[in-house]
Amino acid sequence: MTKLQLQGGFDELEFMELFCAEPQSSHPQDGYWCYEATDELGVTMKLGIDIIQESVQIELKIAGSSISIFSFELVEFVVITDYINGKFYFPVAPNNEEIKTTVEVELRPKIKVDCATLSLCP
Amino acid sequence: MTGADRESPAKIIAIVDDRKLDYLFNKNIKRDKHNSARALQNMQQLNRLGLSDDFDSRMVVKEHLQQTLLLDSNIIKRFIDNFVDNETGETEEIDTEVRDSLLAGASGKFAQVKSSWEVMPDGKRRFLNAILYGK
Repeated sequence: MTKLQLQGGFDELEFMELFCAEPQSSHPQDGYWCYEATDELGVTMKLGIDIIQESVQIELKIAGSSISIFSFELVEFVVITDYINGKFYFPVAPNNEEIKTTVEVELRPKIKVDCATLSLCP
Repeated sequence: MTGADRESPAKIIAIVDDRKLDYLFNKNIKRDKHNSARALQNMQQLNRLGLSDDFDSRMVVKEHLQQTLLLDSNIIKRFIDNFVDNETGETEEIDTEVRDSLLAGASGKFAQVKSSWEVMPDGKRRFLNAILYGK
């Protein structure tokens, strides 16, 4: 398990290992990185990370056509749990004591994105 | 203590690209779900302060950003990231600091500005981006 802080701890080699590819595009001087993976069903997931703004964007595409986009701010870190299957997750606004939002992603063998927001107090 | 006795803060030169201001005024922003939403919110915050996208407002914002560099006490975070330069293959370092400030508008309202700056080797600061908050 590898925990990567977006600010001051971003490691492109870890993401290269996770995606088994170099970034599709990057602007390191502005803190932006974009990775892409496509599974056997032809589903493509694009992951955009802005380490300065601490934001993450996930776009899902089928046959090049965008079907959903998720944008998250207040992402402080990403945790890689399984390099072989490309599994990672990140909490959104981890310091929020009222709700817990977690996004879980799996790249292989098929792309899967789960997102949940749960209440921590009544 | 007179004004002359007070230690004047060292002036740090700010590099603020007009394209970065475009992001705050939501002008010519590449369509992107996050960029668009964030740029729109920044613009709405500026509008709330009575600042629209014109020369004078841009000057107000630019001057505010430059003034945030006068004090070190508004630095809320500083971090260093490394990356491999694709052209040279060498590991480069980017030193970033985040500053907190209050921007006053002509409407008498304020917005909190969280601005990010690259600390250049010569001490200059390159403006990276900002998020404006306020109700």
